[in-house]
Amino acid sequence: MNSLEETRLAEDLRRIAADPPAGLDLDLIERRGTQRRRRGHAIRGLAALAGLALIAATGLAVAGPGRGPRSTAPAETVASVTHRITAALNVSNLMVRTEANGSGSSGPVTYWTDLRTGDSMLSRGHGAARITYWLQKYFDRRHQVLHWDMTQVSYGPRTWWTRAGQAAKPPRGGVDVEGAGQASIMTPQYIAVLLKHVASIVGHPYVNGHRTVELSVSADAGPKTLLWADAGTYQVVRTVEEFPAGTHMKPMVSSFTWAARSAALVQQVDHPRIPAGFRPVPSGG
Amino acid sequence: MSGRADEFREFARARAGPLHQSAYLLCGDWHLAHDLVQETLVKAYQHWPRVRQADNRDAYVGRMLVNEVRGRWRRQEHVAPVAAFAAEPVTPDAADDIARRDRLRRALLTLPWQQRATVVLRYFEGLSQSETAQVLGCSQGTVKSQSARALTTLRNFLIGTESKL
Repeated sequence: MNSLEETRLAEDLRRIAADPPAGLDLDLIERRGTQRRRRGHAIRGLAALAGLALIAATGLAVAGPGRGPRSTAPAETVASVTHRITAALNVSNLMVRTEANGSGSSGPVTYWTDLRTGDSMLSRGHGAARITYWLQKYFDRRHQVLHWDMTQVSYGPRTWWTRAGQAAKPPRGGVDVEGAGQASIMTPQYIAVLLKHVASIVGHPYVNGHRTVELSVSADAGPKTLLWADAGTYQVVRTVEEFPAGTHMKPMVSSFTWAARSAALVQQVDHPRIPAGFRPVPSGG
Repeated sequence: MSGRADEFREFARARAGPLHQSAYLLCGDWHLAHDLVQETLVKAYQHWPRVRQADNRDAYVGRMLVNEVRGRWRRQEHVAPVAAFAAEPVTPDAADDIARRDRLRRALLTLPWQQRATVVLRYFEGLSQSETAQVLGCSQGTVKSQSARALTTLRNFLIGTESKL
């Protein structure tokens, strides 16, 4: 390769590795580093004492201090698991499909999220009852303003509307879109918030053909939630939200499918499609 | 927080991203790269007095990472079905440069370990021949020859796959 090709190679390598997942858990790293250091000191101390005792007892020289047991596999802790799930949610070349049974009157819904752009599409109902929403987001870094466009298509009355909005800074947990029923959807953004409230690792059952790690989310964060993530990829497989007995609401079960971000999916999720002949109405109509 | 922890955190915050990217190029899987960087930084914190005395901390910890990746590679932990799923588009992107980079990513993983490490250190991290030799624990001549062989292999792979498209 000549220098031009080498320059291109360097640029390509930078772009291949351009999207590292979320950062590391420095607290966990420091804890593990400290534990190993202390264990190393303790073992060396014990070995030295044992050596002195042996020399005193038998007059024999002993070999140098031994090395402590070393774990090569990272310990599975709530922090490490939630960190990996968060990292999986930040893989930008994937899309996530959420299918939820609907906890209220909305019925089953299908929700797509483009993890690269943050754009999403929600669809519920069939035939004349079908409604589809698209949410496109754009963050203006210079002015720290999040803009979004929301589009709704109603197949019964054959109407559509669109609305633009903005927020002074990126709201946590995604955009709260009025009318889209997003509050009842377990979105990747909402999962990211829930992961900060994980109370414990429950077990490792098989769910939807995946060996999973099951997490229990603290009830303080809202409804009691159980979350299953693939034990290898840490992609979320299923969540179940259980509501208090007095509310008479069925548990909301959400199943997740992860797909490569293809051109066809981008077209479907990131670009609202208004069917021919549908008429525009005021937003919210 | 102790001075040791403060100093380490400052270093880790600055270097975690580049280490993560290098580890990904070396192993081909973001999740495995995450584990490798975490393990490297645990060791760096464990032996922080030694790290801080190094002439070049970045290079010192870079060598720790390379050794960590090499160790995993030898233990055959480089099989990465997750990467195969997560990074391969179902529908190839129409853009030529994206397709080329995808082929390059795959080509990189076909290189023998030392050649791949040489490419990452020389062309991604921008190390000189002598710095690369220092990190890999070999002579500058070896870096030069490994680098040339790797580039030839990459060029042939890219030409070969282009002709199949």
